Amino acid sequence: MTEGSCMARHPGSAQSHHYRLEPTIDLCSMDMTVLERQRTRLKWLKPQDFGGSASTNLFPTGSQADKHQESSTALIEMLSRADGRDGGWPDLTAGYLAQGGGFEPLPEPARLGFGTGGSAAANNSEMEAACRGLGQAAISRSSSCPADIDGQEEDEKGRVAASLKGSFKKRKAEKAQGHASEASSPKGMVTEEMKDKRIKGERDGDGDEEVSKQRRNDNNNTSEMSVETTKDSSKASEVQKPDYIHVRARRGQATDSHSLAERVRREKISERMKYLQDLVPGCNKITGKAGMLDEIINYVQSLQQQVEFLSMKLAAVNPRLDFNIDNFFTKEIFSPCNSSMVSPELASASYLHFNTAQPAAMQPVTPCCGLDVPISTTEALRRTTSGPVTIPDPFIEPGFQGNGSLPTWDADLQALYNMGFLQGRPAAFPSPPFPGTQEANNLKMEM
Amino acid sequence: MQETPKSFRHEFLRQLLLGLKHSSSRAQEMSLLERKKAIKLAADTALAMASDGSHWSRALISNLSKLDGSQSLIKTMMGDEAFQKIKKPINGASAFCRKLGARRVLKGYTMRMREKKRVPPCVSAQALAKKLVKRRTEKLKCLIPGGEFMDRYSLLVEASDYILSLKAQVDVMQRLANVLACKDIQLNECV
Repeated sequence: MTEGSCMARHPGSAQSHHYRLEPTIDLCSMDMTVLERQRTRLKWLKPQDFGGSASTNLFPTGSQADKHQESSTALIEMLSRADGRDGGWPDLTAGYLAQGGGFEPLPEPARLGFGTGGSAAANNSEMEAACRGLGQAAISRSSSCPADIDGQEEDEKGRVAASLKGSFKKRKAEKAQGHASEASSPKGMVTEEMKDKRIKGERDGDGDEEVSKQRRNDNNNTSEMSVETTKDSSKASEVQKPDYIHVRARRGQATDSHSLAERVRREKISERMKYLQDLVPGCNKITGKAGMLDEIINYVQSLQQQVEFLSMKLAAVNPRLDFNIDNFFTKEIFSPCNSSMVSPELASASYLHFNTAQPAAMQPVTPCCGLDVPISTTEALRRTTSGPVTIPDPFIEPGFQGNGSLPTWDADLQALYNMGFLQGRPAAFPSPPFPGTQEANNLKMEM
Repeated sequence: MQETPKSFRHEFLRQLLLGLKHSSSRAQEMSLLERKKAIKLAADTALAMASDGSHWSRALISNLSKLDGSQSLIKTMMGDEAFQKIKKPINGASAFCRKLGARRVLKGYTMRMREKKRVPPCVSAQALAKKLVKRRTEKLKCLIPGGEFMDRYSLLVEASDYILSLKAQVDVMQRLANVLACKDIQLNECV
């Protein structure tokens, strides 16, 4: 079994050649994209139990960060095993990884808990959350024995690998779930800082000469290259955190780091393109990147033109820019003539701010306009509102909640509305009969 | 396909109405075009504020604030502190962006000069495809606010986000316009 074979190895340089992890999953033979493979691996390895860290303790552990050392050594081992081609690299990468990074976003408790050997599950979940919360993808081209990975190791490796990625100039945002990526630059920078801090922290507990060698290499940034080369190659599959992508070279494809990285980048872009295909209507048949980009450009341009046109329409409809929304919504929301346009948010807004305490205002409106107002709904609304409702100033306030409490009207405004509604209401909108009240309405109009 | 959450539309509408309320005080003396510009400004600012947190929204607000007569509205909608933050130049970033932009312009210029010289009669399909994609990417960069300095992947991410928000904006404004138009019709009917 892979686990056993993996665990038995030491990170010694001489034995690095044997660190070929056999393909544990049949993904290697399938012609899937890298991202798909990674996700499958993730799914496969998710229920993996946390355990076995002790057996993978390859380096003499320092006093502090004992567990960290364990998992990092496990990671190192995995990484070194992953590298089947270059015997010299594993040590470098191992040591580099041992010192490897923390993430700024990694919550303090998680790290401390990790170092003090807190509950594995808690650490695991915390670190998972931290790693995921990074949003910053690190493409780890490393691979490791899947069975070896206990949750903590995964997290550690993810963190380390992600920090490594952060140190790379190219930052790849991987979205395992397809979310939009967060801003990568601040996190990347923070990652580097954190990595340096951790390196300093690790130095105390690190007595292995390999590690020291790697530290030196780390300073020279050659470890970057070494880590990159570990990515190359290997047919080993690996389940990792969703933060970074494991790349495996397919048969007959170039396996150097550049092409791997490019392949990952291309696949990310194509995945984004697919998402955009869903967004932009009528793109199902278009397969090329150029065609898709063309459609996207046309769509964005058309949307922007629509906004211009609608703003012109709104300007034409409203000579005064006085959007007396309350009045509109009272009628419009319940009018079937606008049923296609009744949006849930408008309805809820009007529901919230609708002055249902004014039945008199409603009635002249509906019959006069011949609207098929469902009186029952207005009745229901009236019944549900309990007292006077205030103006939708709360709506304007930032603390506005969508479906929260019903606002209450001021008595004055109620009177104003009554006046406005019952007297000369048709004339109210084009030219307000009561400029004063109109101003007041405008002031309090919003939702 | 409504993919934007209701809260986003709520927020957008709220901000839009806030902005319109601000402009309505001067509405009487404005011409149609001026009103339209004010409405569009309020709509774009509301859009950027509703989708706070993405690159393009910040770029959009900074672009809008450079327009004439927009600062008071933006200040009202955003609040003074946020507005001051935008106005304050980020010391490193602006210089860096300018340098980057200048570098890119120069690079594009020199590349184009070079390309014109050595255009082979038979262009490989790959090169042609790359050129097409590159041209379109640049065009997309102009369309998406703040897209000039992004790499291709982030550009696509921002584009998808921007498209979603634009769709929601168009939708809300359309409903608003319909509501107003219907109301007008009803008023005319009643009269």
